[in-house]
Parts: sequence; structure tokens; C-alpha cells
Amino acid sequence: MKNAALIIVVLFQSIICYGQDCSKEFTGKILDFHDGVPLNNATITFNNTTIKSDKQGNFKITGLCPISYAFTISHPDCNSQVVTVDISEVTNKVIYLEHHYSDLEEVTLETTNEIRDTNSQTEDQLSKSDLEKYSSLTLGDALKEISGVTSLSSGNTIVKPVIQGLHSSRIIIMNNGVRQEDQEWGEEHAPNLDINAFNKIRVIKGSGALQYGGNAIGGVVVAENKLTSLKDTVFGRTQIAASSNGRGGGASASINLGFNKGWSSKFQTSIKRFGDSEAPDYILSNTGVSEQNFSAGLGYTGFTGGLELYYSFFNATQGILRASHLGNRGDYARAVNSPVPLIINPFTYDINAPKQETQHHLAKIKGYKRFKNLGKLTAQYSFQYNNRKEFDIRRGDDRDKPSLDLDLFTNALESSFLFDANARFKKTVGFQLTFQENIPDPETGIKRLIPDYKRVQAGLFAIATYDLKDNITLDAGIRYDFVNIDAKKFYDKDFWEDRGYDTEFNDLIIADEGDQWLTNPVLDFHSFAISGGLNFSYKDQDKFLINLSLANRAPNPVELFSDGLHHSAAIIEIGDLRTKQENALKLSLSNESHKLLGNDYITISPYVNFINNYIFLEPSGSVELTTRGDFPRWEYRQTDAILWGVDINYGVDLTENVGFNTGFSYIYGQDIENNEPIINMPAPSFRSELIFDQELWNLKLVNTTVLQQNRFPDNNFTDDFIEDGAIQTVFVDVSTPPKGYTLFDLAGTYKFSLWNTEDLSLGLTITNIFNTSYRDYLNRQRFFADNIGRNFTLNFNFKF
Amino acid sequence: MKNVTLKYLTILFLSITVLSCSDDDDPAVINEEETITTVKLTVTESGSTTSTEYTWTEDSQDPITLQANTTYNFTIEFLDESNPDDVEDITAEVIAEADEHYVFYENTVTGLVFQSAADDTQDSNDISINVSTDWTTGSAGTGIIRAYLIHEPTTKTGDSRADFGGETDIEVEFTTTVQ
Repeated sequence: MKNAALIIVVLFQSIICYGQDCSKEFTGKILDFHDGVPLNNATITFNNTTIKSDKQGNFKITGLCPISYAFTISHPDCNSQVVTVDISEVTNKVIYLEHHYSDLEEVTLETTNEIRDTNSQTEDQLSKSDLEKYSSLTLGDALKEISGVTSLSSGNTIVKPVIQGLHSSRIIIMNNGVRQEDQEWGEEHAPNLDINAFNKIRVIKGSGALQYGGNAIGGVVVAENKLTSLKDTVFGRTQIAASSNGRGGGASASINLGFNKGWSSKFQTSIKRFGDSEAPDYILSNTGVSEQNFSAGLGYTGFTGGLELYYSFFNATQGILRASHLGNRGDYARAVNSPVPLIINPFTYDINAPKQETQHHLAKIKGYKRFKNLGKLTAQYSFQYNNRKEFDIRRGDDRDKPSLDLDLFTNALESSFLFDANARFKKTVGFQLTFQENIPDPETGIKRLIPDYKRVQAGLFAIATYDLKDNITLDAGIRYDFVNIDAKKFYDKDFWEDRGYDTEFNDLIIADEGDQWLTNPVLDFHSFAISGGLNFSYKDQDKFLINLSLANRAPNPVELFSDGLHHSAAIIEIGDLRTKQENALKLSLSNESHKLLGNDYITISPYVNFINNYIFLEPSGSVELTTRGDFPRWEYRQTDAILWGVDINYGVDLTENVGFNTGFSYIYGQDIENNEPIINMPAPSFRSELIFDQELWNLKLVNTTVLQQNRFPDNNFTDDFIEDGAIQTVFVDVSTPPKGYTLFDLAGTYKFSLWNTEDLSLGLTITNIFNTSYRDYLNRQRFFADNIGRNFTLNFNFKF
Repeated sequence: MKNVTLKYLTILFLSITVLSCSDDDDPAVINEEETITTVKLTVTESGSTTSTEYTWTEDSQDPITLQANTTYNFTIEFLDESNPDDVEDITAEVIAEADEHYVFYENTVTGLVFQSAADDTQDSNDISINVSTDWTTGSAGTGIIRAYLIHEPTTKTGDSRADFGGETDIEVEFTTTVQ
């Protein structure tokens, strides 16, 4: 299209040109827009003639007629630009080229080029083709491909990412440039976002990416899908997946439109519907899922400025294993000690209580402006509304009422300035202002697990990278955050005294409500984060990274205020008003070497993380008698912890068409104050792939092997029951992690060319080929049921 | 395009409204209902009209005293007394939803046995749900009686709590003396 227009202009010019005084000269200079550096070897093309700029960026064209010419200016590192010049009026011009092509980054559907977010942190990324395989699954499932990333799940649909042993509030998830605020503190709260909405997901294994936040002790997941910068284009895809396990599937469609003059837009939608999943030996009753998502973006991606509007909507209903909803401690003991779930019903698509219904709206407006010889200013306002309803099994009129109904509103305003005039020494400064309000609906009739609160966060950061040499880049960053939490919380008077709050916090009481106090805790936290590191390239492709990061994390609402019964764990969780900030110091190294034994590479990434005031939940040893029965009481406590581990990746091209790669992760977590292992640390695991890649088809055999976690704290308890007229004691082991397991998956894809090359691909994936029964330590339903069994998924993917 | 803009504006407007409206209103207090705070056993000796009430609450549990080699009728009541001015009788609900409920007793007193009474409530499958039960004592002894209200039991036949499945709505214990 663009080329056609150009040819017409050129032809037109040639005709007019004929018979004129064509001895005009056009001179000029081609410079980098950002730093004014002259661009050597830029090409200027017109009328089949090509001229190159010299080292000073100068060029000179002779023999021109006094008319308008369209010159195409190109440089290997830049976006091409067409400049129209009327030679009768202009004979000299300075032309600026956009030298940061990666910033505009054309949205090709398969991005393979590695663009890093940080200089010295260990990072990994998944491309669109990696993500496509998970279109009917979740973000948490896809991220498990990355070594060092595991998942904390509640069944097979509620999956949270765990980065090097840390999860929930210790991880930031960036949803298209906005920090996702979706009640992420809960262990059974999966990220409320649709994996199909993204074309690339990066994982930063540490807190050093200070532009996103200062409290990501675990790391950052950056999920994005940029607008296309291609002009006059329409492209998109449709994907349909059908699975045998759960007897359901998903469909998603997206369309990207690129208009003239830099305007573009995109639309994406997806749906998912599954019934009960099946373990090898039984139906996992009430584990269905229903999900509907939509997103739309519109923007102008220009040379000196741009604007983007984005909206996304997520709506999901997720069933929770029926057998995991427990009435009291005796039920819990029986459920844990039973080899099969105590409730197994025939397969159904119905999703009944216990279940979760979550909705997430995200809207943002973002703009940027580039300044000559200075840098780029970015500003963004975002709004998020999250609603979470959790349904327990209830009685009578309350049968259909949720037990928990939370509205979370988050408004964020942020801005940053990137100084990149000196390409060797780039600096970014910025701020973020966040206002958040949580409103639990009292209509539930159940005391609020999380109170009403308002939270203000103000953050300031400065980061810089400096190229010491061509192959050595240093980075440093500093960030300060002020966090203010203003809560209104009811406390049972007995509980208030029992916790000793009456001696410390009586001034927080604002009203007397019978057997409850209404209190107004106002808490301030000052958090500092510092990060520094080095990126050293050597030999051809080898690389060494070292990073040291210090981060503070203010406690989240659940750690401060939680006070209630968790049915799925049959425990009462108690937060503590006195909870202090966590302080983490993490040292990470990474070394990537290529061509050791052939066409291969190995990446070894060890790390050590010292966390002071590590917040965790542990049994208090007391049993609380409630009107439903007795429940063990678990309390949030703080200790000093050390987490160290290593992630290793090895990959080799065995032949031109056969590749093998394997990843291994090990993590050691220890409570150094009490000298005992930290609960829920991922077990050592291997993930290996054997890939056959032909022009039209590929086949992948994947093995996942997880060893048994041998390091765990002892939280076992005993319960009594009556048998033959006598009280018997039963031992309930809730501590010993399940045995290790090994699983094989096979995935094949065949590509067809219908209207365009390889526009249709059909795939078949079989997961858990041998229908192995297994349980995973980080699945909260492991006490009650096996993980899902064999699953066939048929995939249809059409691009246009 | 217009719709998208409209949507943004609507959301923005709503958020501002919600945030500004909710300012400084104290949240409403929640007094949890639908809990069973009290379990009452009314024990009547066979052939007699006088009965004794034994009450279980979180804070106090009455000990039961029975005579050896005697027959009694037990009726069980589940009450929500969390609001003393508005006591709710959950038993009515249990009876109305007889299909989903079952009362089960276990005890450790030698010779003490029970069966459902003739006036007991039956579910749609004609299974008595043990709201009213007949008990027979043996010789003197001590032990406990444990009562369960089971919600959605997987079966209504069995000898121990584990046989019934379902969820325990409430589990209470009375120390018992047969003299």
C-alpha cells in the first residue's frame, strides 16, 4: 500500500521533471532523534537512486529538479521515514531518525528477540507461540515452563505463579503496563487476567525492577500486548481448543488494525467453559470453570509522541473441589485420612458452592512525548475495579449468598522520564501515586475477613544504566514508597483482649457495637528499595549477570487484619495489627555459556535471599471452639528466613531438526530464628523437552519430574473419634509432602497454508500420557484429591 | 470508538462517585446469624411426662444423668441465640430440609444404645433423621454422648461418624453418667 503510493509519486515526479533545469542540490544531515548523534551509512532513496550518509551523517544529492521529491531515509537500527521536500524552496535539511526501534517494537506475532526489562536481573520470557499452547489454561500454568517458576494452586483452575519460592503479595503482576490489583494477597486468589490477552510475558526473578514497585521481593511478571505500529494493516487470529478432561474448551479471537498516520487499535475476546475435571480414578467434583474476557485498545504511536487507551474485562466462575469444604476439625481429619475424596458426584458442568466469582475491570490512558536530545516522558492514569465473591455451603435463606464479597477500587497515576540522550548513560526518574479502597459488602451476613480500608501509596524512583565498556553495563536504582492504610475494622471484644490489643491499641476504638468494637487503625509504612548490578558479555554470546537488591514490603491487609474461618483449610486465620515490614536482601548471579560441547548453551543462576521479618502463617497450637465445632487456629507470625537456590537450563541442537533442553530448579528455605524449614517451598524439579522441528510440523515430548520435598515443618495434629464405644485417637499428617512424580506430555502441530503461508495450524496435545495418579505439594487440594489425569487437547489456530 | 470512550468515561465517573460517596461512612456492624449457638436435649423417661433439659453452649455444657436399665426419649433442638431478643429455632429448618440433614449420636457409655423414635421426622425416603430418639441404658457407668448434625450426608446408614460423609454443621459433647 505504502509502496504503491510511493511509486505513483515517483512516476509523477519523473514526468514533471522532464524538461526542467535539473541541476539543483540537496544537502543535509541525518541525526539520531534522541541524542543528536550523526548516523553513518543511512540510505536516502529516491527515483531508483540510493545515496549513503557519511560518518558525520552528511549527505549531498545533485542533479535534482526544482520540484517535490519523496525521499525514503533508512538506517539498519531505525524506522524508515519518508520525507517530502520541495527542492525549489528547500536545499538543506536536518533529518532526525528514530533510533530506538525496539521502543516502538512492531508487534510481529512471533517475537523472538529478547528485550530485557532490567540490566542485571535474571529474566525469562514466553513468546506468543509459547502462550498459545495455554490458551484454555491460565497464566500460572504457562509460567511453569520457566525454571524457578512454580505454581501454588487450589485445584487445576486456580493457579498462582511462585517465583523462586515466593508468591502472592511478594510478586507484582503488570497487566499491560498497569500493576494488577486483584486481592492478590490470598493463597487461593489466582490473577484475574486472561492469558490470551497477551503476546509476551516476561518474568523478572527479583525486586530490582524498581520502575514497577519497590516491594516485589519475589519478582515481577510483565504481561503485555502492544498496539501494532504497522500502517494500513489488518491481522488477527482465531483459536479454538477442545479438551477431553473437563469435557470443555476455549475459544479466543483477536484483531489488530493499523491505520494511516500511526493510529491503530486492537480487540480481543475469549471464552472458556469446562465441567468437572477428572483424576485418573475419580471425578473431581465441582471443579468446573466458566470464563469470559474482553479487551480493546486504541492508540496513536507516533514519532515524537503517542497516546494509548486500553480497557480489559475479566469474568470468571471457578468451582472449588466439593470435598475440600469442611464443617469442622473432625471432618478435616476424615477428609485428609481418606485416600479418595469424601464426595464424588457424577460429572457435571454445573458449578455450585464452594466457588469463586471474580470480575476485573481495567482501564488506562497513557501518553508519551519524546524530546529532542533529551528523552521520553511517559504518563499514565489507570483505574481498576475488582470484585470477588466467594461462596461457601450455607443454609436456609443464605444459601445463595456469598460468604465474602469484596469490592476493590484502585486509581493510579504515574509518570516517568527516560533520559536517553546519552545512550551509554540512561537515567529514568518517576513517581507513582495509588489510591485504593476496599469495601466488603455487609450483606454477606458473615464477619468481614478483610475490613474496609483505604490505602494510599506514593512512590518515587530513579534508575540508571551505564555502559562502562561496550560489553559491561552497570545499573543502579533507588526507590522510596510511603504507604498509608486507614482501616475500619470490627473486633470481637473477647478477641481484642485475647490478642492483648486492649493494652496497646485502645485509642483506635471509635465505637462500641455490643460485643464488638469498631476500630480505626491507621498505619504508615516507609519502604526503601535499592538495586545495583552488572551485565558482562564475553566471548561471542556468553553473558554474566550479578545483582544485589534490597527491598521492603509493607504487610498486606490479610497479614494485618485477617480474622476468620477458612473453610477449604478448616483453619481459623488470624492476622496481627503489630505486623512489621518485611526486609529482603537478595543476591543473584547468572552465567550463560554457549558452544560447550557443540551447538549448545547452559545457564546457571544461583541466588540467596535473606528476609528479615518474613511473614508466614503457622498453627498456634490452640484449638478454637466455635459454634460449628473446633478448628485449629493459625496465626501470622514473623521470623528471619533465608531462601537460596539455583535454576539451571541446558539446551542443545542435536541435529538441524532435533533439539533438547532441560531445566532444573532447587530451593532451600529455612526459618533461621526457629531453625526449621519454611512451609510450602517448591520441591526440586526437572522439566525437559525433546523437540522435532520440521518445516510444516513439529513434535515435542515433555517430561516433568518433581522430587519429594523433604524439608517441611511439622504441623501434624491428632483428633479423636468414637469407635465401638471407646474414644480412639487418630493422627492427622498434614505436613509430609506428597511423593515425587514424573509426567510425560506430547504435543504436535501441523501447519497448513490456505490463503496465506502457514495461516492454519492444527495441534494435538496429550498431557499426563500415562494417566499417572499424583499429588503436588503446592496444590492446596492435595490433602483431599489427586491432580488431574490424562488430557487430550485439540487445537485449531487460524491467522489472518 | 464512541462506545469505548463512553465506557471509559462511565467507569471513570462511577469510580469517582463510589469513592467519594463512601467517604467517612462507618461500615455496618455484622452480627452473624445462621450459626447454631445452642443445642438442647430434652430427656423424658419412658412412661413419664416430666422431662429434663440439658443444654450445650460454647461456654457451658450440662452433664447428663440417667438411671440404669431404663428407657428414655431424647429430642434434640438446635437454636441460634446469638441475638437474645430474636432466638431462632434451627430445628424447624432441619426438619423442613430433612433430606439434607441427619442427626447422629455416638457414645462411650457401656450398654447405652439408641434408635429413632416412633414420632421421629422422616425424610422423603422414609428414613428417620433422629431428631427424636429412644435410648436404653445398661448398667451403671460413665462416658460421653456426642451428637452431630450432618449436612448433606452421602448415606444415612452407618455405625460411626465417618460412615456418613457430608459436612458437620455442629458437633457437641455431653459427659454422661448412668447410675
